[in-house]
Amino acid sequence: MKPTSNAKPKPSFAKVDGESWSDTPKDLFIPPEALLVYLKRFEGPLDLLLYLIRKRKLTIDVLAISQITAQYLNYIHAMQEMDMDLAAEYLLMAALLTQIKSNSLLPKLAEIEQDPEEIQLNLIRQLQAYELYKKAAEDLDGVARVERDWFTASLEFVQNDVDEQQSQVLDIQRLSQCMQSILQRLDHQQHHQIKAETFSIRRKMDYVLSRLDQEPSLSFEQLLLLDEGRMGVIVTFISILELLKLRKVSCCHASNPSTGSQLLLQLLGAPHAQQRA
Amino acid sequence: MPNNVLNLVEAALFVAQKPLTIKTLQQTILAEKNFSSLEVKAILDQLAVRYHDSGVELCEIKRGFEFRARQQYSNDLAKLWPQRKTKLSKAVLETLTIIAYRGPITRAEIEAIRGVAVASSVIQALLDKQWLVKAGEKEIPGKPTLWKTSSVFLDDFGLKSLQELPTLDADLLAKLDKDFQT
Repeated sequence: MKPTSNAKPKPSFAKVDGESWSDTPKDLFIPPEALLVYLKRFEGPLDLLLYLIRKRKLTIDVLAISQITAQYLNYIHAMQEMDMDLAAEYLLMAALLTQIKSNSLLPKLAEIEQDPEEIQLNLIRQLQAYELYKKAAEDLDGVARVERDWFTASLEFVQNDVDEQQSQVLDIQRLSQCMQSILQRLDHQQHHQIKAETFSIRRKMDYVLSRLDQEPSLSFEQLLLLDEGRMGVIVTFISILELLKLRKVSCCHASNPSTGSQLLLQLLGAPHAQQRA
Repeated sequence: MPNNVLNLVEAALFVAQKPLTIKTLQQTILAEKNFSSLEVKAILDQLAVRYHDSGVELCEIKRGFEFRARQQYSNDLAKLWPQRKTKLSKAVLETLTIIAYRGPITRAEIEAIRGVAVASSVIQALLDKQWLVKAGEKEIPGKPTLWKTSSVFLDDFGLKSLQELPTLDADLLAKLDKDFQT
């Protein structure tokens, strides 16, 4: 009866406290690609492990969670290319196990003394609710449903049979669809024009020059107007490139322990321009 | 009732590819006849009689009337689609059940009952079957979607309303905490 260590999952699919299991509990579903964990007192699918802990047939205190976690992570790695959904379901299971374990290890503090019991109570509630709906799911599966227990009868609608009046209706529909798509395209173009007007590179260049005229030097950030958003940043950047090309401004890189790395801009040929490292 | 009216309604029910209500019939193919809903019902009843000795029958369901193959032939008819999967996975079936009995419900609330995460593929499978519809968003942080079952679900399971769902197991229900029952 005792299986060798490399025995196949069937007929014995798990080993608990040296005892081998050949039948799955009736109220437990174990997916075919289930994660198998190998621990001192338990060998078998993670699903079964959690099931036993929940049913209090195995105490978590004796389990090495770090081993489960390591094996779990290896499994996730292998699953990544195959079945992420299954891996996601296991994520919850592994988290739950870790939570139960850490709760059993932590000394009970006065502030959180109701917590472990609360978790157990929630688990019991959840299991009772689940039992109820699992039974209901079986009943619902017994209800006659389409394409399994009965079939609808219908006929193909043949276009030739459409009379003239109906075909006119169809044309109007197509026409209005056509009109709608044209309007949508127009909307799109107008939208584009509005955007182009909001930010002008020419105007932004004037703004940058006027700011630099008042201050000896300014960083790129200081030239930005926060309410102009992403587009404003891009336009400011392009206008600075433009001004650099026209040799109206100069740009240097400065780093300062308090502000970090910055781009500093100055007017070229301005009387108060000064070099900074 | 003249035969041509019966024939017209018969043809409409076959080609519509969806159930037709008395109201739809009144407003479309029978618009010029000004029939009362009772009269339309009488036409449908008369039509049903025509199919007494036939492989198909006229059925009244939640969304109206439609023709169906007689249920006694279902096992044989299923052989027409040997590839078709008619079995629902455990995850899909349980998720559907919880939504049917507890909806509108969020994904997190379903997960709290099932004890495992509800994969996107499960929701997608139910959406593909048109058994789910969104019932708005829950007014809590993150505004999660509330799901409920659709009228297609009722029709596909031959139910007129959610009240006709199989009754929940009384013993199991009694065990639950009060705040978990509804």
